[in-house]
Amino acid sequence: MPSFWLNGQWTSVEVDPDRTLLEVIRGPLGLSGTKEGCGEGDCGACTVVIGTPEAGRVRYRAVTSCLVPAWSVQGRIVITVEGIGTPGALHPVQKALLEAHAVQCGYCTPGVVMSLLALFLDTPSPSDEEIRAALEGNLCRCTGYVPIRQAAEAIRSGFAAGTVRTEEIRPPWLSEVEAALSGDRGGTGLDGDRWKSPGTPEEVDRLLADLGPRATLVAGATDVQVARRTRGTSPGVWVDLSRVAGLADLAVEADRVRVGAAVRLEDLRKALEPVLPPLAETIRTMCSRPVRHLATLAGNLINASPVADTVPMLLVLDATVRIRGLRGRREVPVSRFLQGYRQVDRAPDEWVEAIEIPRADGDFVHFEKASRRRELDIATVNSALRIRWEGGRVREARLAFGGVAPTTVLCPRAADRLRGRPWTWETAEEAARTAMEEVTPIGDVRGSAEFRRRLVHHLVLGHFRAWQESSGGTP
Amino acid sequence: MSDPRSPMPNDGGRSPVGDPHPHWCGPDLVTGRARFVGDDRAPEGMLHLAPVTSPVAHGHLRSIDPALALAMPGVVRVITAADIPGQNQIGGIVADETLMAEGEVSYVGEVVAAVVARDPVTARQAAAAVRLEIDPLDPVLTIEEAVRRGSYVGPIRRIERGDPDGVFATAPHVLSGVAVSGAQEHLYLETQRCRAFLEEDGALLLQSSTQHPTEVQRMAAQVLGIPRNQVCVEVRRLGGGFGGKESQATSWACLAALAARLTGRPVEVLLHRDEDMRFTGKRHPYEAHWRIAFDGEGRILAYEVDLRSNAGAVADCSTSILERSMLHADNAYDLPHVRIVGRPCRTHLPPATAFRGFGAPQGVFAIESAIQAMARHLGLDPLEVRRRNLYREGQTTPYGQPVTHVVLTEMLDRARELADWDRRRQEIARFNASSRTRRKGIAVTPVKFGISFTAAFLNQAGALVHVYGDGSVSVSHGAIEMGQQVQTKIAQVAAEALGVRLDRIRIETTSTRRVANMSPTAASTGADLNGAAVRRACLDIQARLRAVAAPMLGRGESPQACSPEDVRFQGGRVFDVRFPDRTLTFEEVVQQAFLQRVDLSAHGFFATPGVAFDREAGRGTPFAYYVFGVGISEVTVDLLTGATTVDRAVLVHEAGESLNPAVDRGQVIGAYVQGLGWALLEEVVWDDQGRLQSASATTYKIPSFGDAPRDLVVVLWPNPRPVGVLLRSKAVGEPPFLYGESAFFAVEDAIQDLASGALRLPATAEQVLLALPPPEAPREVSEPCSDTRSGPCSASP
Repeated sequence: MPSFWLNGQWTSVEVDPDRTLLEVIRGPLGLSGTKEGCGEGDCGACTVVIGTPEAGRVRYRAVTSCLVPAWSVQGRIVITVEGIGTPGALHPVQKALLEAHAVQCGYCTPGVVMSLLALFLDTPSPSDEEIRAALEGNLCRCTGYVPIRQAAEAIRSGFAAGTVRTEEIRPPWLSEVEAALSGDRGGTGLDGDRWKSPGTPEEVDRLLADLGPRATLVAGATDVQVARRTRGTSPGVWVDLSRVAGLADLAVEADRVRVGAAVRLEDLRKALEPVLPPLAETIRTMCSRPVRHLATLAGNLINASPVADTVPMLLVLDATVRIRGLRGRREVPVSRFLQGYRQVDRAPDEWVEAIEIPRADGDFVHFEKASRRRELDIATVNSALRIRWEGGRVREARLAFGGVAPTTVLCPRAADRLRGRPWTWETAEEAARTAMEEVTPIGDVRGSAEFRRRLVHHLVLGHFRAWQESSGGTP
Repeated sequence: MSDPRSPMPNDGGRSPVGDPHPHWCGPDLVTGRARFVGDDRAPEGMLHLAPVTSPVAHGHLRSIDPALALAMPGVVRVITAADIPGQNQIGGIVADETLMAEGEVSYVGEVVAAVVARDPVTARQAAAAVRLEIDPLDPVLTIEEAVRRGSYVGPIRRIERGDPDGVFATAPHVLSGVAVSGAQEHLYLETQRCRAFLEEDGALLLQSSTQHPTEVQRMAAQVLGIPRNQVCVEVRRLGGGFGGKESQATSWACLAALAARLTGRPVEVLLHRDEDMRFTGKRHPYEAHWRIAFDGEGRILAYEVDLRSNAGAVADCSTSILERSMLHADNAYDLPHVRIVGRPCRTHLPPATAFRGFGAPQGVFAIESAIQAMARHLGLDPLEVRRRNLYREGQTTPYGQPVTHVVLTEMLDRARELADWDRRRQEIARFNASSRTRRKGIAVTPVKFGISFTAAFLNQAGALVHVYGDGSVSVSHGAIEMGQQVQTKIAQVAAEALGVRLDRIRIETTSTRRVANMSPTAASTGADLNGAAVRRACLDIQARLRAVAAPMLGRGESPQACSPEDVRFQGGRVFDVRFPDRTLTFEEVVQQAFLQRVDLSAHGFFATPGVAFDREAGRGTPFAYYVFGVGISEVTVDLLTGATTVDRAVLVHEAGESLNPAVDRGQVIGAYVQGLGWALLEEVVWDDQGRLQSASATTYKIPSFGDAPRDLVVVLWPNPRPVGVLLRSKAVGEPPFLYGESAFFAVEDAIQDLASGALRLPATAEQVLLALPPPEAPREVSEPCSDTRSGPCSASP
């Protein structure tokens, strides 16, 4: 039975592990301010804020509650729209939205309130880009977003002018709950027949040896929840990796980055910005910030979708997957780990503990993504390119594409075209044409075969354009 | 400001009308207290209904086998057409739509049966277990095929003036083409839903998320075979409607009503997003075959267009939508010789339905495509060409309605100036000459939008106003609040008309028990019609109160008798206009009126005068007035991905004397961005069996935060001589949607030298990239080479 701090109250609720946080909040807990708009993390109407103790402080993140298993928030702080202000005493975020006329039908509004709350709990003076990122996960069909942006800017100005203070942003009950959370109530996860929350890697090994294929490993559970909802797949026994000791660690070493399987994408993005900026930029284009607060790199890889955005990067960077189980440990390059459409080299009693990514200092590494919409969308075709230089020429190149085959693929012949040659529009075009010959994409709802074929060509030129623009040119 | 419902300054001088008052329910909405259907705690014993729908687009329904579903624990009942006590008929305009299919299924997602169960998960699992035996038949899915077979949901209509054939035969220039526009999913954030309750006498209370409570009431009564006074439909607010809940909320409400009646328990129908997307209709796809004749200066001599809409399987409101397309085929331009033909094509797709603009965007898209082609053909500035053809005062439309109070030219000139049109065109040309992988474009769309339901009888509204003994006011009206803030505007109108402060007004839920025979909240008329009805009720009460107040004001130190004509009500004060210093409070007068047995309640009724349209003849005065506007969009197209960024937009919109400029500004921006979605981004994809492929927010993409232009200029144009229905304000909901078309034409402008063939709307990244030369094409093809388009658009003499 999960228990957590809901809007300042320690709350327990009897619920099946298959139920989401959204279902629990709206159902047995009776807080219907949080709305369901899509049920698969694509609209943000259900956004709530979750507080998690980390390194001596509590971190607050907006998440889409339709993707969060109710059992996973054991011991956490959960803030819903009901927790921060009343019609007679509005929270600064609520007041700003109202004054900016950023509310029309109001169905998306509670989610927008929560996204802005998370932003301003963390960042009193966000940049325009931080405001955009904070709101990229909230669809609104009425306002055209402009007034919502103006509301966020008004709060920012309020901070600057001293009319909005941090203590007004923080709900009055928060400090008390934070103090309680630093005790032992928030640390350990739950254990039930169909929900396991192991605390150490060894426990995970034993659980998997015992459960085998009945286990569904999750950290953010974002893909598993969508599959459960849309394809009716049953998770069997949930094994929650998010509380395994050391699994959320991120180690930056001189020549590589080691990403634990429970590191959230958004945390990874921030950490990679100074270390491996192209991968940070790749992650920025993925889903939305509230979903990135849940999802992980390991999940993106293991799900083995042909359009997973990090996978082309992991391929060109030659990343390695660290796998373990009761039978032992092994390391497999990403190129061999991926075996086919949604198939990876993992036995039922094994699990991925970390991904090691060599740093590519000095190389040109770039990610291109073509999708229907810039934000909050899955790629039609994506591509990563890495070039190692030698005396101003290409010593070696690696080029990968997603969305053109059952799994993400490397295009070695196209990459070879560049070897030993200067990196110019003309050589890029040659590589682009070769890449088109190397893959035979098919059509689906995200794009026709011909559209994908052209994208394969054009994204290679996109890599070139990015390189040229980063070095001051204007193609 | 902690409470926006705080009192207006009691200075008697400031009018609540015209004030940028915040959202009437804003504090409840931002704190999550505001309730939508499904938000109230489920009543004891409430059941959940899941529809069983056709998996094929067309077929003979041979049998329905519920055995497996009925065997599942928690399943209470499986309902089919055989269980309907009244008529199995919910067609609003044409009686051609069943609540549950009988004999034949005619689209994927058509309701065939329904499962009622204790919880929604069980209901859905059981619905999937109901076995349908269907002999599939070949579906008709395209407009082309429907036209070939002569398959229509209503008559082919015509509007004609002058001698188009004669002019086409002799005109110096003639161009023709096909303007193809796609469907659009409403994607209101709140999916379709209804809760049905039985009252003690067996009457039904329906909490429906509908734009048209009376239609729900009418159809539920018809399905159940009971009088309409046995069905109460109540609506607090909608989480977005946009037309999608005008006729298509009805079936879900009727199913809930039927199930409640059959089981004797409360029943909820609440669709998941994918269900809503698969089961309900969308904006009509159109193919518009146009031909335009013009002189060397770009003056239109004749225009003809054959508008073909894909109406789907049943009529729904497709005939009215097509009518509005035809009545907007002229857009903002004088057409001396013109022929407009409309064909509502019947196909085996879900019934297409109302969506903001209601056919006007598609009709306008055709003539805008023609004018864009004409400007290109002549090598003239597309803005200048449009300017030469704009309606002037007193000219008449193809259907014979005079266009009056025209401000199109002034607005176009202002927009041109704000957009820095001439300089930007030069800068864009320079940019395009220097960039290998990006192109910029700019385009303008003027708009003339007719306000009124084209079915004249719908232009009526009722209201019920009570003033209680303490001076507080209850306002019931027939408008549905769905984000357009009609409640805010109506509260402002009521406060003005009664002369009270806004905080004395309460806006009630919309209920068929308090206001009967409502028209849908649609056609941008919600505030106009219902506001006018409320105003009349308030003025009636005020007239009675004036008679009470006059003797009260005439007593005491007042030197001469006060007549009712001298009494004024303003901001909660009542005074003799000649002696404004001596005041009574509204409450004092109300108390006195009560003691004198004066009626403090009033029913208000409004019917728009003078609107009539003869659709057989294609002539009449269907509109009370027109709204004018101009949209300009500037875009950058990435030639590598086909993706478009809207860099800047200028929207000059005629608002009359706005009831609430903040609300109107919000409507303009919101409609424009929704129009951008239709024009650039949103693509409904059906496969060759009529199955929806884009059935989720994952695959169907509406604009998100970053798609709104960073640089957006909105001007509310205060037409000095507005004609309106309510005070001097103008309707605002739909017209600005059409500004989105400027973004489509900006994309076309950006790639015109490179593209082959006309773009279809939406100009998605895929559309754009496939219109560009393929990677294999020899380089010279990508150089600017011609000023005419190949493909369906061709030039003759």
